[in-house]
Amino acid sequence: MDFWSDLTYFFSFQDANINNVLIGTLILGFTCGIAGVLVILSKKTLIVDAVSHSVLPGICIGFLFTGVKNPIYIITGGIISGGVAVYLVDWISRISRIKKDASIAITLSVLFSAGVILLNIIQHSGNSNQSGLTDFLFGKAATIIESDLYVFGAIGAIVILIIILFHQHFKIALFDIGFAKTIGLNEKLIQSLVSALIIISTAIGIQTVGIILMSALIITPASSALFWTNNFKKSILLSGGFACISSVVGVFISYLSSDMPTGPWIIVMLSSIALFSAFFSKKGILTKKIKIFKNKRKMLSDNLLKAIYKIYENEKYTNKGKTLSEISDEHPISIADLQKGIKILKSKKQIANPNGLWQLTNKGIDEAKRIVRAHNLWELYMENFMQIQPDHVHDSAESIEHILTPELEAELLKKMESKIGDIENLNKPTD
Amino acid sequence: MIKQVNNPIVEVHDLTVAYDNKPVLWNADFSIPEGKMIGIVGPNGAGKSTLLKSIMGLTSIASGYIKIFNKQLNKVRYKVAYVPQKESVDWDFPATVLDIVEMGRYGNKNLFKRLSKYDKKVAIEALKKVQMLEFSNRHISELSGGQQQRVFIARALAQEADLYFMDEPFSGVDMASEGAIVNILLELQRQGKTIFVVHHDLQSAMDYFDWMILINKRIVGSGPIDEVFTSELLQKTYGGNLTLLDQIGQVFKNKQFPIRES
Repeated sequence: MDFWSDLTYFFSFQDANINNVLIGTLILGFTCGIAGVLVILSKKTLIVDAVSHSVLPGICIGFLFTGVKNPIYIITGGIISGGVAVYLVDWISRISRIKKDASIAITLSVLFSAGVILLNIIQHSGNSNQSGLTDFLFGKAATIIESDLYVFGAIGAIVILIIILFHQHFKIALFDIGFAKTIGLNEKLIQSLVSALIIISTAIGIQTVGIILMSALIITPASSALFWTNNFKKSILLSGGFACISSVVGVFISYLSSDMPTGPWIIVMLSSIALFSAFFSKKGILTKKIKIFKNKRKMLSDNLLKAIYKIYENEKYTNKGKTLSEISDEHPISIADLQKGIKILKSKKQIANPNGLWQLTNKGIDEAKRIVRAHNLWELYMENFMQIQPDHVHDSAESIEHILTPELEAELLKKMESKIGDIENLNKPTD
Repeated sequence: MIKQVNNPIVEVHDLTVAYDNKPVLWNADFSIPEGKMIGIVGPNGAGKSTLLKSIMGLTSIASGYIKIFNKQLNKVRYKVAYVPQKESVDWDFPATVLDIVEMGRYGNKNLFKRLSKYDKKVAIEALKKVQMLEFSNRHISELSGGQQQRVFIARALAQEADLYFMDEPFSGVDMASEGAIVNILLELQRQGKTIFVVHHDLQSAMDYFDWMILINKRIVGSGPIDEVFTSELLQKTYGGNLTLLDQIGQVFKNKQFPIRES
């Protein structure tokens, strides 16, 4: 079968096995995704790793109780040992001098090794039902069957319900716990709810991605979501959405090739989204770089414009057309920069080239005047209000002239009114 | 000089606060009349914020009690608004200016309910009062320090309280914002509200407050400003050597000895 027929078969939802895996993964992904935002905002991301490693002994004990891989027993066991882990982390740092990060590391390693020991005991016990218990280490979504879905659905519903019911509590308390307490919010309740969300979503989430990758399933979609929105509710939904998209992609890839594991592919997809967000969102790295790039272009073209304007002023507008070499005599920059600057100015229609010579348009003259005015205003302000030496004001004004907004210019003008004789003088370039 | 008053709006009785069993505020005992603008003034580490936090029930106390409107805080929470130091929160939190101010409306409201039209109106009014209405949809990380402080004050205004506790509302704030905030506080006082302000600039304290609490590990003075703002009391607050007090506190901590026998 080729890719397209695979794709259409997969999304025709005819295959019950695929549907089970897909629905199960979606429930788990969405649950972990929406819980993740609260985990990050409560600054408990390290706890997630401790909890996910600590559920292993619980899972093993849950299995030992029944001798079969009953999801209810296994998840209950996981939830209990996850709860023990949260309590231990808190208890160790409370009663001793050990700080929280160290107590997290201690709890994680102690409980995880206990889990590995139990796992070994089970494997050598000769119980044939135990095969697949090691799947919890790396997760195995492909083993999800219909009866699992009811358990996942019920537990996912609990998480969603908690978040819907208490979203206002979370929003107020996670932003400002001091204020929250003064309006009567119970800090313990909030902390316990966040811990409960971590434990519950971990106990079910490890079915798909496993213990090792669990914290990524909770933290990565939420970190990505926080890049895109400044709204609390939207960030939760977006995080859930990212997790869902990644789940579909992960399941689809492992359907295409049976060698491909679902869980790790979900995480790869989530990480790609996170990387994309870090670069391309409004708060991203690339946006910053673009700003820097644009600033450079603006400085280059503004300065060139100013130079031509200066020649005009010096020659009293007698001869408007200029050659490149005349311009570069006034404003010596590299040929490449000169040509780039000319191109930018032309695209802004601030200069024109009607007869082989460059000349400022009316728009260009106005803009040049504005820049010079901003420069002079700022110099005046610095000298008169900030008591800065006249020989130190020029460099600062060179940069301010590019970014002074009209509102700020008006404000400066108002402040400096008494110091300015003739307004026209402001448009005269200085050196 | 501690002036006790009749029918106080806030009464602090023999309050001792300790961190890790080391007392940082010793035996504070004072009472404050209604309708005043009260400055809490003292050097760094004097226990100003600690005093405020213990009145608001944010830190456990080693001895004593606090009464507000002659009642326990829990009974009168809805009448009290608290403005923490703006450094105490993470301003990257996904929320807009309006979101934060609306939180103030949950002060005397069931958190499971939605905000009513009236609630939203009050929040908008509060934003207007601090001259931040045009920023209502801005993300809170895009504000200057003074603007962040004004958002916090707007949240407190939205609580429509009778008693306000503000922790360093002028720290990291430009002159224009400081002036704007002072005007808001004066307006509150005109409406008969009582305002506590932690402050550490003695110069302006003289102009802003009509009642003052001088504090340095203990209450040095509490009373009308002209009676408390004396060179003698200021000397006691800012001068003087408190190393003995500090050493005794350290003994409590090292021995983890109870600060009160019972």
